[in-house]
Parts: sequence; C-alpha cells; structure tokens
Amino acid sequence: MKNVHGIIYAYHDYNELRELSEKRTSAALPFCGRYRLIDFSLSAMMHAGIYNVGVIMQRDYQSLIDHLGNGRAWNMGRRTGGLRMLPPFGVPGSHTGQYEGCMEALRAVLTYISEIDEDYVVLTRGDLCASVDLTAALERHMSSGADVTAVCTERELHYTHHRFIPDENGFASELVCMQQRSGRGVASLEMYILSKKLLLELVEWSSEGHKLHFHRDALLHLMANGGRVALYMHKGYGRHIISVADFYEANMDMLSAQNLEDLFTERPVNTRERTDVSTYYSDVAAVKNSLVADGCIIEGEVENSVIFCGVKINAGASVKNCIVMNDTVVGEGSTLEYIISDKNVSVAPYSTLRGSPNLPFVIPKKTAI
Amino acid sequence: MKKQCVAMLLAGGQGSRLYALTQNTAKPIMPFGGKYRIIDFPLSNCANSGIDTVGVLTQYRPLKLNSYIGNGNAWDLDSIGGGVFILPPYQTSGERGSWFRGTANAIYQNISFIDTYDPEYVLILSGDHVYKMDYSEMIATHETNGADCTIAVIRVPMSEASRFGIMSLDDSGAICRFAEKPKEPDSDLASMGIYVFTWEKLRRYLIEDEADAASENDFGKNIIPKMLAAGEKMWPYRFDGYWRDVGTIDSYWDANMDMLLVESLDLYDKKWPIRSFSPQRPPQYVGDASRVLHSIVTEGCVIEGRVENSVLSSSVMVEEGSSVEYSILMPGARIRRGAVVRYAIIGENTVVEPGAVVGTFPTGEEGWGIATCGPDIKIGAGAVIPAAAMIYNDVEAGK
Repeated sequence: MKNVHGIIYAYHDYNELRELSEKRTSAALPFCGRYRLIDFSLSAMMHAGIYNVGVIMQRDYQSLIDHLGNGRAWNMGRRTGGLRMLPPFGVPGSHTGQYEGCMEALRAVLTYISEIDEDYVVLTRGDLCASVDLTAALERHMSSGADVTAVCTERELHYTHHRFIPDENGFASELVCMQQRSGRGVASLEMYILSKKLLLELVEWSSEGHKLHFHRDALLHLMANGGRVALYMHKGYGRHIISVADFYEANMDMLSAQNLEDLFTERPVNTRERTDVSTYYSDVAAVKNSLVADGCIIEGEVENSVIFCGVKINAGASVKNCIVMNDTVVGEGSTLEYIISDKNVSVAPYSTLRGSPNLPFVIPKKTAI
Repeated sequence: MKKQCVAMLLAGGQGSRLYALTQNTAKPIMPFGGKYRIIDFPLSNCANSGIDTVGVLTQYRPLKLNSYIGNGNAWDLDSIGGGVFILPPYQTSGERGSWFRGTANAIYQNISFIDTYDPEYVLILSGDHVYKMDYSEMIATHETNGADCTIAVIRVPMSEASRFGIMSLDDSGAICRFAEKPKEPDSDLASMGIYVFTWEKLRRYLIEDEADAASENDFGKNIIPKMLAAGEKMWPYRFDGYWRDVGTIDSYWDANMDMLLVESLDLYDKKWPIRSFSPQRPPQYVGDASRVLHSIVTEGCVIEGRVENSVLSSSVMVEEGSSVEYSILMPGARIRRGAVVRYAIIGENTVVEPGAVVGTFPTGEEGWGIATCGPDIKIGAGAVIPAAAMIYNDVEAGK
C-alpha cells in the first residue's frame, strides 16, 4: 500500500530476558534457527507493500543495525524513503535511561513523524512473533471508518498484555490494560493502524503532563473521547517474546508443523542473508524432532532442539531440549539439556550442562565452557 | 574505464548430456551440493579473486539463468564501476545477427563489450565446472611469464587423458603442443577450460578466426592451435585442487557425492566463501521417525523418512516411511510415503508418489546406471523406474 508508513519500536529491553538481552534489544532476539524477531514486523510490512519504515531504537542497538543493513532484505533499500533507523536524536534527555513507554519513544522522534508523507501509519513492536496479514488489516481499517485498528489474537498469552472487549460489530467497547492471562475479550498484539494526523495529535496531547504510555494513556484517552477502535483478529500463531521463558517456549513451539506453517508458509519471512553451506549429518548423527539451520555439522545426538546456523555438534555429544545459537561448538561427548546457548559458545568435550524445563539455563554469547 | 582484467563466463551451452535435467534450463544453474548452483563457483571465484566485471554469455534457455544472476548482488558483484552483465546474442544494423556459433565466436560477438573496459587481460571461464580457484594468482603467473595466453591445467590419470584436451610442455615449461582428446596422449596435463589472454592478442586472433570460413570458432579447436602454430607465448597454470567438469549424469552425480566429504572441497572456508542466491526458507525439520546419515540437507527441507548418503537441495520433502539413498534431490522435490529412491537424481519440484521405486543399487551388470527424473513431473504411485532410466514426462501409477 502506497499511502502507509511503518514504525517499529525496537528499544525494549526486558529484565526477564536476562543474559539474552545483555547486548541486544528484544527486537534483535534470534529466533527459529535463522531469524531475528524484527523480521516478522518487517516482512509483514513488506508483504503489504509498505517500504517506508522507521525503526525506533535507543540502546544496545549494534546487533540490530548490523542485522537491518540498508533494509534490502525486506525490499526497503529504496532510493527515496525505505528503511530509516531512529536512534535518539535532537530531543533532550532521550539518550539516557530507557523510554518508559511508546509515547515517550514517539515523542523522541517527533521530527521524523511530522515529516512522514503518508496519510496512514502502522505501529508495531519489534518483538512481535507473528506473520500478520497487514493487507487485510489495512483493508479493514479503511472500510470500517475506525480511528484506530488494533491487531488482536484469541490465543492465550501468559505475559502482561492489554485486552480489548469487542462489541457485536467488531469494535472495542473497552480496553483492559496490563492483564497477566486471558480473561474477558481478546489480547492485543500491539500492532495498530491509524492516520498520521491522529498519531501526531496523540503525541502532542501526551507531551502535556508527561504521559508515557500508548495504551494506558493515549488509547484510553482516545476511547474516552469517542474514538473508535476496530479489532482485526489475527489467525494463527502470535505473541511477543519478553522473557527467557517466552523465548524458550516460542522457539520450541516451532517444532510443531502447524506453528511453522502459520509463521512461514503463506507470507515468507525474510531475514538478513548469511552465506552458509548446507548442513552435513555424519554417519553417526541421530537427529529427532529438531529444526536445524544451514551451515551446521551434526555428528552427535540432537532431540527436540532448535539449532541455528553454523553450529557444530561433535560425535558422542547429546543435545536435548536445547536452543543452540549461531556458530556454537558442542564438544565431543558433552551432554546438554534444557540449555539456551547464545552465539559463539564453545562447550569443551565431556561437559555436562543441565537446565530445567521451567528454567532453561542461558549460556551468554562467546562463553567458553 | 580501464580494467586489469575482465572475466567472460561461457554459460550458453545446452548441457545436452544431462538430458532431462536441462530440458528447460541452462546447465550453469543446475543445483549442486545442496545449497548451490554450478555457476556459483565461477562467480564466487571471481568475487573472491577481486575481479569485479563479469560478462555472462547466455544462449540456451536463459530465462532462469538471467533471473538467478540478477544484478550479481548475491556474489557481491553489483559494484560501482563493475558488475555482472548478461550478454545474449544480438542483432546489429544491416545484419540479421546470429547465435553464438562457438566459444570463440561468443567472445568475438562481444568484442565491443570488452573494449569498453580496455582491459590488459581477459579471463575465459566456463559455467559447468566445480572448483575453488584464485584467478588473481593465475593472472599474476601470466604477467610473470610475459605470456600471451595462460591455460589452467590439472593432472589427470594417464588412463583417462584421452578424454581431455592435453598439453605438452617444452623444457622451459611453456606449452609446446595441444591435442584435443588424443588417442595416444604424451602428457597427463589436461586443460581445465580456463584461459587468461592478453586482450590485445586475443582480439586479433578472434577477428582472424572469424574471417576463416573453415573454423568452428572454438577456443580448444581453433584459437589455441592457431596461437601455438604462430609461436605465441603459451604457458600452463598448474592447479592441484579439487576440480570437476559436471557435464554428464555420472560426473554430476559423482561430484555431488564428493560434497559429502569436506576433504574434496572445503565449502566451510570463510576466507573463500562460495555464495549463492536462494529463496529464504525456515530451517530444515528432521522428524521423530526419521534417520539422516552421511548426507547434506538444506533449509526448508522436511525429513520424516530415511535419508542416507544423499544430497538434498532446499525445500525437499521426504515423507514418513520413504527411503532415499545415494541420491540427489533438487529443490522442491517431494518423496511421498513409502517411496524408495536409490542411486537417482530427482529434478526440481518433481513428486515421487507413494510406493514408487526409482533406481536400484548397483547390480554390477552392463547398462546399470543412475536413474534420472527431470523437473516438474510426477512419478505415479507404485511406479517402478529402472536403473539408468531417463524420465522426461509424468509416469502413470503402477507402470
């Protein structure tokens, strides 16, 4: 769609992500063997023909910048417009601390927003893990005459989220903020469509009295003043990833063919290319119910695991219920269970590392064990 | 803009000895080694050797080849001042234009392209070889020797020498004789079909050769012998790494199987990456009931059956209860439940329906060979495809 601009929040950094977010924001979290979470938002926009996209970042954005490049992987490396990275600039105080809410983040890039040429804006979080049909959501927005369209899911979410109570016409009659699990209504996937004009009004409104949050402040204000929020129901897999438990669960969810199809079949997800050879399985490899990316050498046993690009699992090693990120080497005869190994970890031969299903153990980037 | 060297990649051949596999596409983009297409090797070698200008001569069914190469970005060849240029045959005013008649004629027809860059040297490559080579070393050797032409050579077993173009050297190490497929070879140095020419020299020989009505306008048959006869300085460049011509079903199958051993060609080498262009797919999924041994498998594959000693390109499906051994499965091939594939090549997007059997283990009998199924066809349920078969079209169930 020509008249739509995208804005992705990629500044979130959650304590519950522990070691995984030491050097990256949640949007840059590796996912499903070869992706990073922000690929979902970018690909959804790409499939809807949205090529002018701003990514709001604040701290720890090096790995995100490396990943995005000039946006070419999502068709956003354009002569005019295209992908814009929006680190803090020009706004006093925006370099320090962390943006506490979306409205604060939007205020920090107000100049950018005011210069958007398009009449409509899609706002989304970079840590959304869903393949949303934005074309359909935009069509719903345009035809419903709503002020805001919210992308929602009927799936149960086990982290703090916001819920809309739908009326009989598919509009929100009520917004319930900060819920822990399902209850009334449907969960927001925090992807919103609105006009640029309304977005600017909300940002300007929020700067008086220092209102920080999109849901608790801006949306509630809008709805209290007669603003109409249409609900677009996203079918299929959808959630955010904001803790180690989410990260583990969501990656493991990909071992189900249905979830994998939900996310990757109808609208392929693009990511930054890595030059990798195919994966080699040796004559003593034993792999069951696992996802394995390219560039790996598998000589050992792998079960119920997600293995990222360039991993080497040596003979006699056993990797079960693990997530093993890029270029990690698991030494001969080692045993790993319920482990999340970040990138470039090396596990010495005959080591034993065990986490538990409820608390997978995270090995930070570049650790040598 | 003056360049030291421009590469010209001959990619127009039909690959007729690959039969069904190249009925719709040019040989250079045959899938290879899981992740790759054959043309990835010369293109990556160019990029890694610092050659940024590559002309690709296309002729036979170029559609997929052209779209595969695109602007050369996948190989980092979309550079300012350089790039990959697709060079099809073309018309000129007052003439009707013509197809490329031979390898030398293909270059002759593109003299003006090469002249644009006014290069010192021209590197002639072919699109059907699998190898890693630093062309900059070869060009340096050419310069050191003050050669007019340098030909890359590789030692082959004497018993096989009569299948190749064979070079004989004089005492100084220069090439003194060239024999195309000699019955009684007097050397074991075979031409790899990779040449560096001093452009000024080659340009002259191309024009002369074009004027010779009896010539087949071929490098091996005409240009090289003419230059030798005229006493031009011809030097070999010895190469001792892995190199395969994959122009036949057997050599194509053999070279793919070689990729199961890192020793043959190290594709993990980060200093000499072989790059390719592939649609992005999720990681490969290996299921509960599967068994994958001594095989290479690529992104997007779903393996629920048995895969041994095989090479699988992207997005291949091997369903539960099926078995794939010693075979090459091209992108999107699908092996349905209970099907058996042995010593076979299955073309792109071809479906082997449930219970079908393709190929056999070697029988030791005369006439045994790799069974080949072309692209985009269906092998019906329960059908039996014998060893050495060459299948172009759909096969009905149970036949």
